[in-house]
Amino acid sequence: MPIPGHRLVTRRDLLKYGAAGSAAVLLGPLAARSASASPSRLRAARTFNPAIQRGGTLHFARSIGPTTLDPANTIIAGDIYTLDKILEPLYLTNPAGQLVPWLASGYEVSSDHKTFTFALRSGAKFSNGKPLVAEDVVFSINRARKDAAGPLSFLDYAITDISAKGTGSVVFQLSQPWAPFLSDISVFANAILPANFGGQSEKEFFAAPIGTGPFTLEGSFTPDANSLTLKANPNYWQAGKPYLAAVEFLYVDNDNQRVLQIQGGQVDIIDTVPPANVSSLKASSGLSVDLFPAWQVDLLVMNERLPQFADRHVRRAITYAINRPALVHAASFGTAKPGGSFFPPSLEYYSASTSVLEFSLAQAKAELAQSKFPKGFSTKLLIDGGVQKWVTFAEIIKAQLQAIGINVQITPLDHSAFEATFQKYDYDMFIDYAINDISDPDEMASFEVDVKNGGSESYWSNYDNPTAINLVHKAEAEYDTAKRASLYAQIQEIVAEDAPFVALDYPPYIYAVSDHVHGFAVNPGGAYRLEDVWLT
Amino acid sequence: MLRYAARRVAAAVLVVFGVTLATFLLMHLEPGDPARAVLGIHATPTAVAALRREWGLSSSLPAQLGHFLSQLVRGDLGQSYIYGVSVSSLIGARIGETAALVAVATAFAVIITVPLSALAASRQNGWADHVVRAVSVVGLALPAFWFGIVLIEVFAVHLHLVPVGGAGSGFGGHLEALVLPGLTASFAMAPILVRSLRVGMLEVMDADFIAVARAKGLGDTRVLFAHVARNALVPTVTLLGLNIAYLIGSTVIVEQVFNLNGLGSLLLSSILNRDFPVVQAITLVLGTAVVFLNLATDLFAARLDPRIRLR
Amino acid sequence: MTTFVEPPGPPPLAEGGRRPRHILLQRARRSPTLIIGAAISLTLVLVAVLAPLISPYSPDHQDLYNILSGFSSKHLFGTDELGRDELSRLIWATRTDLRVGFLAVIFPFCFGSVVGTLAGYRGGWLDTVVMRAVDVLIAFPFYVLVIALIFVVGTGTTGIYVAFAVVDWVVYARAVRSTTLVVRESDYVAAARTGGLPDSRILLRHVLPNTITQAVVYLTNDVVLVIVAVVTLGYLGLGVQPPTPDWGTMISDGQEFLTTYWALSTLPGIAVLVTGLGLSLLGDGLADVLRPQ
Repeated sequence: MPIPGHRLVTRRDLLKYGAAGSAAVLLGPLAARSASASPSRLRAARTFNPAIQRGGTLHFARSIGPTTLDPANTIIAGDIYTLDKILEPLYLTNPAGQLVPWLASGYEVSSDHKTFTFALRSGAKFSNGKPLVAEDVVFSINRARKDAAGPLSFLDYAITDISAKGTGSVVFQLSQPWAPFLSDISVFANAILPANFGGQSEKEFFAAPIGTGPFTLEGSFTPDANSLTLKANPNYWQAGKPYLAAVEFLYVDNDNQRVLQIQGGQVDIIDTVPPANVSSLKASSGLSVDLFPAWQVDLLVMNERLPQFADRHVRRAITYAINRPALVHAASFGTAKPGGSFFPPSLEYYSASTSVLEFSLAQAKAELAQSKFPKGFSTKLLIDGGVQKWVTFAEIIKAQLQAIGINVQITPLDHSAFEATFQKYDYDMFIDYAINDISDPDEMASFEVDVKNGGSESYWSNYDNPTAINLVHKAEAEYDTAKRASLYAQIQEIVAEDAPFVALDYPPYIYAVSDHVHGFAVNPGGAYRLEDVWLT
Repeated sequence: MLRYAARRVAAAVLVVFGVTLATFLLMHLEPGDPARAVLGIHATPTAVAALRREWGLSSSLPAQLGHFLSQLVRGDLGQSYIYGVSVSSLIGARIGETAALVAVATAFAVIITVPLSALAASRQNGWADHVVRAVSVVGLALPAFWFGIVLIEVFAVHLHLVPVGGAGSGFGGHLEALVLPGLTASFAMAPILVRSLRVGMLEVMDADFIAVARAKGLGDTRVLFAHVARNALVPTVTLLGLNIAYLIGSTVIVEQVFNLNGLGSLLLSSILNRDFPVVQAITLVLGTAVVFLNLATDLFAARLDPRIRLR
Repeated sequence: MTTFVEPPGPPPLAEGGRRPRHILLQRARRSPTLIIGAAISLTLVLVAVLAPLISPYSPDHQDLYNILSGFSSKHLFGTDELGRDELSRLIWATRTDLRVGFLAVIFPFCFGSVVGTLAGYRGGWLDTVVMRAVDVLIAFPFYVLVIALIFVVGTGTTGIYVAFAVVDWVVYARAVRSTTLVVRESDYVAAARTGGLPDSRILLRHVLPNTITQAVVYLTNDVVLVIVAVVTLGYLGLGVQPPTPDWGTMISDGQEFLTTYWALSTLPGIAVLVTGLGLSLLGDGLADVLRPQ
């Protein structure tokens, strides 16, 4: 397999909210609203189950190890999914995709939607026994938002002031009404640390961070280690949890190796199961394969700065020409769903009635005939050559576009060069994934449609449809759920018709879990809580 | 002898410097930017600029080279962009694994080579000779990563004789975990050594002084070990030294296949991420190891065979 | 290639510095190694050249609903993960890899031999410079240098050619230089020099013909190693780029299916072994023929 060279696969492409994002508040109902899709396996871990056993060490083989435990200065999967066991935010997204109160027990919002007052959960404390107080929240989020080099600090852009109200409440002042605020607060970068690092220096603190989370770090943190052990936090605010005594994360970046390790009984859970191994793992005794829906879409992006892709008919022809069900059947062994709308089905306000341009060679040829390039053309497809999946997709797309006279040359680059190249717009077409980290769909909508203020010039495609952009801004400001649903449905419809990118598929998170493990579930953002897990 | 050794050491130091300079230039020629590699789709102009400044990438190339060299002279290998810790600590944590792998592989290579060569040489043109020669030819054409995967499938997955991967714990566990990787890596060297030692032994066996020894009535085995082996050893030892360089390089592949946390896999990922300080330092370490290993074997060979010193 | 296959010692010179051709041919006919090696190699070359004619399907033809099918009458070796006929891809991969392998060694062979001969014959500063350059290149772990060069130049065949051009010439230079040193001291060459023959003539007519045989024998072994290296680069995703069929990428693509559809990774690996066997036997045979008995 190609070098597992995408060591720093960034799992997030969060939005950069522009100042023009006038928005009103999404009220508390957001938290209570049910997600539009339910995961294929959701363990009812919160109900009392007499079979729960305590103790034991969970052995978890992961594809990427952590390089830092500082939440404000990373966007790497290996870092996030380690530090989120130690450090927690005020609100959290559960496996069903809903926001639930976490270190905050609730909040109040002013009538102008510019002042939020969060009530801190009483009884919440750090692993060293010190209670969580408002000063800790003020310190942590101020640190995150003022960090100029922090990749996600812009998420806190709307906050103008944070202050403690007594020890149990925190008041946030916003520069304007800001619908996605609660979602932003729930992001890992806004996790709560002890005020002033509890008296330590920053470096000392992150070598052995102290948080409110269910686990603490055993020993001191070594960024390049083969494994990392977490011990149960005896002072965890959820009484009776965690059930596990310890978690051992092993870093095995070789896919085959991970699969062999769980088949060999050396580990209890593995992440990032290659789709090709799903059926053989399902056939193995003593373990099962879990597919969790993800807020992720794999996209084929076209550079609208080039004349051939500025032509809508060409883009539509390309979309029609790609047989997404066949691609998914072969490339993902049926684990992913064929792409249609640019929202994934698990995302709130996904519209199943979007008029997707389904595979049709006849339609593709008809569209191309109406374009300025009826005879087809030659073009280049840029991919990160270190990811086998993109290589497979590229080969399939090349063959399928050949059928309508578009001659594709695949140009793989290594990870670094790939990132630098498409960000310079030095590409014709490229393939990459889009992700929503928070439950609010405004993130994907802005990032991929709002060419001026979305933060990426419409995912580097330069797609500019003023009607769609207006709808995105309106939806940010709309708090009536029915109206909001209708707005997002319209946006998805316009994007489907304009075809600035082709949604190739919706890949799930695939885990293999030993039958000894109970209570394991992953949220659509890719994160998992381990305090609900127990071993038999 | 001393003059020869001094000359060689001086040359070695020059070579190591050459390697360092070449690595530096090569890395900075690479397209791609470590800051963008790390930030990915979050690469805003401010963040990129801030990171590049932090890593000293905004100064000119000669200035960067000067900075690197001055640090090096003080024994400071710099700090990793990705891990944020000193490169020396990263290398220190990983060098043991690679050294152990190289040692085990060399041991396997010797264990495989000597008996096979002796067998083939003593039964020249017999079926044993042909089998050994065929096996060594096949071994040369064997892709190491493929062989490693097959070994894992057979010995670890199906027969459960050795662990599937990783480093293992405890001395015994570590050794166990190095069996398959060591065997795989040794196959990079063994075929060549077998061929060389066999030919060397055959040539020596033809030599006059062996005929004399036989005429004196010494038994074949004694002849073989006392005289043949010793004389055939010199070119083989030289070859071993030369091939350890290749072996060290092939740890990059072997560590990937078996998920060992050694310098090779770190080097590979650092090249991909453009983590310049780490790449510089590891190439320096590996290059130095290779150069001085070659030097050691050359000096050893020169000691055994004075004719070499004249070259 | 920085693995050293030290060929058997330099062939002593006969009168005039060359061996009579008919003797060589006689020996060739009697050497089973050479015959078998030549037969295998020739077969492979024929497969490569005739690929468009003998391949049952196009190697690029995908059948996404018929992936990973086992051996059948329609597909002798089954289909791969994109439904492409495995046998056709093996045939075309032979074409790709033999071509890439041979092309990649041309420059190292020529450049290395010339430089090595000159360095050995002239000695002096040229020799020192060349040997130091050789030392520096050898000190680099092979794959590290190749990977770094490929990133600079770009992946694909161009990157491979450039990388091997930079890295692989050293072993030819070193081997040829050693031989040249010995040849230079021979009676015949000494006589030619005292006789006043110009250096270029001596080099061309007397030195090179002897040293080149070393290099040629070495070449047949080096091609094997280069092909294995190209295959390994394919495993790392840095070799021949998709969708061009190549044994390395076929092995790496098939790796996920090692337990279920073993043919995908195994067959290309066997192809590499057979190629290596053929070329090595050819090389050994040549060495046997050229060495005096």
